Amino acid sequence: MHGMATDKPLIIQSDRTLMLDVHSPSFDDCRNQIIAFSELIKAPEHVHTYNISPISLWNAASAGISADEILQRLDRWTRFPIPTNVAKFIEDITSRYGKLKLYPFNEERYLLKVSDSLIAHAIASDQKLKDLVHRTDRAGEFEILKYDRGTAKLALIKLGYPVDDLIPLVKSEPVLISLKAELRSYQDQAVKSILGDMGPGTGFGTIVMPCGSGKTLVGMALMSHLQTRTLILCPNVVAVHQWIAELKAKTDIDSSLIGEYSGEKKEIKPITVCTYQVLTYRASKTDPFEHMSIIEKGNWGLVLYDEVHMLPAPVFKITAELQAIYRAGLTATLIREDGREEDVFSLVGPKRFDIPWTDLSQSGWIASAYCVEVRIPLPEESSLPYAMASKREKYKIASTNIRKEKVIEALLAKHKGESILIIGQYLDQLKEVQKHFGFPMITGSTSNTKRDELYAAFREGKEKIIIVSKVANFAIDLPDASVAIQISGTFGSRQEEAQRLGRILRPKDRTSFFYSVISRYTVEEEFSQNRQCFLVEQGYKYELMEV
Amino acid sequence: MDRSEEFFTYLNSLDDDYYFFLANTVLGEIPSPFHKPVLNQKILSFLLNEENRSNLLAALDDDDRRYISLILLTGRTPAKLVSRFFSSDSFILLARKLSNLRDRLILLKEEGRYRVNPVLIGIAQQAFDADLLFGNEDNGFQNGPFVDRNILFAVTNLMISGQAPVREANMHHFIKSGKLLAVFPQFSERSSITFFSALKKLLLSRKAVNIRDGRFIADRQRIDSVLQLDPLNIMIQAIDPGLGDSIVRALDALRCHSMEIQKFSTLTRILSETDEEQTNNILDLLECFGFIKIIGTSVYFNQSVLDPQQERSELRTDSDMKVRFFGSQSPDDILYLFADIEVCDKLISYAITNDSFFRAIELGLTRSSIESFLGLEEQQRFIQWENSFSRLRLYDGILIRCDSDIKNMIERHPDLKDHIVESFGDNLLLMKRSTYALWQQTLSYALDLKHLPVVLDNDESLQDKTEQDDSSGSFELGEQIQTATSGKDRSWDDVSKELLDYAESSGCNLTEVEPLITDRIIVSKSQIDKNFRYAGRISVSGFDYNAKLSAIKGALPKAKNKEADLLELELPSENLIVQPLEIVRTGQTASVLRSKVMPDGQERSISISSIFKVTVLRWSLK
Repeated sequence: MHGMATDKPLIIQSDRTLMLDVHSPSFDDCRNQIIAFSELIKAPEHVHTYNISPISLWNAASAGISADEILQRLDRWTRFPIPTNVAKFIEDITSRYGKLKLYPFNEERYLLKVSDSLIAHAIASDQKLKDLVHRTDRAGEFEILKYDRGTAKLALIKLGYPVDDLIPLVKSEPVLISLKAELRSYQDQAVKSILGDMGPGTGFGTIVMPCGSGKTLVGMALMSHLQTRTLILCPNVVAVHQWIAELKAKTDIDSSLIGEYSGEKKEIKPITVCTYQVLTYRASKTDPFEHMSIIEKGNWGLVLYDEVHMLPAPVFKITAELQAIYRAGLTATLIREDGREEDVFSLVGPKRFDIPWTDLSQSGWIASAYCVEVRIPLPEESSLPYAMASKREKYKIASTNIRKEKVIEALLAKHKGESILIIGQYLDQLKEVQKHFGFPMITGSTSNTKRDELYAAFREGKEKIIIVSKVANFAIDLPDASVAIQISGTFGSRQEEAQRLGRILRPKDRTSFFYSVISRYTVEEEFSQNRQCFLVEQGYKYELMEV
Repeated sequence: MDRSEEFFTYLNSLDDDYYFFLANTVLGEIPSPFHKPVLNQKILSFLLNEENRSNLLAALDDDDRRYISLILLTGRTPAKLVSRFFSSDSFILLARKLSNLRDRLILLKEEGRYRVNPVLIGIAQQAFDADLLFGNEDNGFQNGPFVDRNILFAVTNLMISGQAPVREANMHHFIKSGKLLAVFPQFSERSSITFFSALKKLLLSRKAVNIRDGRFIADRQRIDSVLQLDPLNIMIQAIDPGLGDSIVRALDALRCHSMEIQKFSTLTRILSETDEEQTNNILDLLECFGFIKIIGTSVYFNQSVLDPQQERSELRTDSDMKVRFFGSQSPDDILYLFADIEVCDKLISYAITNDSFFRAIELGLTRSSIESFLGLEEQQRFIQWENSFSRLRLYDGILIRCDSDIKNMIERHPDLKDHIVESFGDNLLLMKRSTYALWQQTLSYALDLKHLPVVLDNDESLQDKTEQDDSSGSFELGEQIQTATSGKDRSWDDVSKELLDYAESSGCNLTEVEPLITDRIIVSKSQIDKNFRYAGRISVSGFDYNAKLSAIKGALPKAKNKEADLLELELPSENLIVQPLEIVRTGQTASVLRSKVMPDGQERSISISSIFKVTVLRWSLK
């Protein structure tokens, strides 16, 4: 039996998946070469998985990498011959880039030039495009209404025709802003991946970075480079406040130039931080989105989409219309329940930067984390109700296992003096925990003021332990949280697990601990294993502890 | 029966006309009285004479070699299929040649089938030329996927893991789900569906996988015999073990010489002695299994099949429980028993899940054997699963052994307690067999299981051992089909010149002899004598209407089941080969020949006066 690790570490599958052996001496060289035209899917400890997709190929093409170059790189590292269908796919898809170019035309329209007559014919005869891409009497030329730019581009990509958008982005009125902090190398790379050479085809994209790795700083660095009116979209009010706090702390911008647009305030300033919810608010299903105009009329030069994977569907359309300006999406996880990740990439911009979590952990840029699944039995009095309950009820019975409190007690004792988060899904369970232990709790009904106070107290070390519901899943800046005890979660949500782990990944001088307490021999086991999938694929391991 | 006997049997089966034609051309004038066995012996001696044999060989031209090569390769070959194989040849040429080869006693025709004269096999073998027969194009294509042992493992796994449905009614949904495409991305969807169905059928027919309680269960005793098979034998067993030899021979021919689809199809049909539908089915399966590829109108052999199979690499198990490797699994590989196939491509990936682990425990594997196979230390997740599945086991469908917590729960559960027959100690419950379906479903739900962990009694499979299918004959692709070496000591030009000179010097009627030399009927001086009267070929041309009529009449079938002679008709604008059916008299000079035009057999009535030349080809191709 022979080993897998050789100087040809790559295996190319017929479905365009690339499997890269981590143990090969050529691993780094190979990875650096293939990342330009493929997308990292998972990175566990032995074999990393990449995928070649149309968008990854068009990304490469837009960066000047030809099909020949891609095939040469693959050929250099592949252990087996490149499958014929994969080679043909690369040639075909790459060749489409540059055949559709979008130019300015007049006040109301853009001009789409198609250099391939067959593609032009296909576009002209496609029913889905007829209302978006208008024929002209000039061969190979079409017109697109300005407000249809994004939607038309999306529709064309879905049909397999990428558009090289050569319309210069509009910067809007200048806003002077400089970053006071220094960027780490990977953050600098992320910024450059968006801005490129500032030429046509650059200035937009999505950045995927692990929780705690400083996405906010990357956003601010973009603002510092572009020096323009900026709209920042966030998942909730806490995140809005965090952004504002960070802007004040890490840039030289005057506070008077920063506005909050949320349920509580309606300020529009040169730098405005807004929630997705307020944008999608309307009095009834038939009423318009009354706050959407903030995007349309704000004369923005840059839009930052924080936690872009949460981009609500109603915002898609507006996003489609914001094609003329610089834009960047920031996220740690790419999973959407509605499967519209591709739409995000098409409208906001393609993924320009991605880095494995373990890479940052090994370099110390995020804390290393020790994950533990603590498994406890159901109490006897629960076993019969559990056996007879519906699936949803079973999950709740298992999740709210009273014995979990004992585990919390033991863990608190083990990590005495550390900053600890206790995270859960069910409010009555969290209330019981609060009743038992007396720690402060933050839920959806906690006022924003109170919430900020508690976070501040936690940050300052005045409160060492807080209980949080799932409102705290996203965008909390808690530099010193080193332990998270998860006592329940949203079924098998991988995204939630990753986000919760992210709460303890800010760099620190000690290892962080993530405990997931589950009831063994129940449905919670299966859901828990599913939740762990994303992190395991990122290289994290869970130790199992039986109690 | 030895070859001479076979030949004599053939000679004795001929009608007198033809027999004496042959005897006459070989032996000259036949004196009366004669004794047929003596004549037969003399004919045989003629054919066994070394110089005659050499001349017979020299007399073979390229077309002769082609036709002989096919029939030597395929054995007793139906005339219709010979004609189909050589359909790109002129039918007239084919008809003449085959008739001529029969007249030369190189080919025999019995009951509509051609074969090589057994006493001239040596000559036929020397004349055999695969290049002439199949052409000399590129041999095959490289780098193509084919169904190998890894795929057989994967198909088995799809069944026993529950990913593939048991009921045929659910197959459509399974196919639509795209699972097969995802698992076998190297193949087209049609190919994967086809070989999946064929392999599933193979596994079920060999009882390597059985259906029990609505799911597929592997019989570990029997499955080994199937997993031992190499790719060629997997394919043959899946298609039809009885056709193994013929499939191998067809592939042997193909791997040396690609050929047109129609030729390969005909060759396969001849070799397999099946009908057209079955032949098409065989070709389809060969293609779906990846052994052949059809490009344009040609068929190629997948040369990758001949490459030595690379041994399986070490296994890499990631913490996401994916096990990956490349190369060929060995027959005793157990990965398919405890993991679920994800993709079977250059890199093969299996995923270990709690369900797959559960299945392995049911089959009698242990955690330590799994860890040992994977080359891993003790795995916490495996320990957890092992503990979980050890909580309850079901014996003989009614005896539950479980931990005390579960026992307490069952005894208190309103939908379970009434199905208890008896309780023993802390861990045993005897349940009602009559209500098994009810309580097992309730208990499975209560414990969050897809089904209750049973103890699979592998001894059950031994009970049916006597029924085990023994058609596991092993087939191998053979040696390369030979092309002709030299095969000729002398050229036919030299031989024929010598014969003509001899005929002239002997005072023969050259008008009679020369055509027979040209037709290669005369190959030896012993056949030349001024006193011989030759039957020759009947050929009438010109304006002699009555002679033409007479020749045509002579060719009509004399007896009910007798084959008609074929006629070659030269008409003003075309030449035809026809099988005459009857002459319809409409007047002395206006008779019409009703006939079937070969090779299609389309009926046509031809005015005899419009025929310029009629030649009787002694025997039909029917």
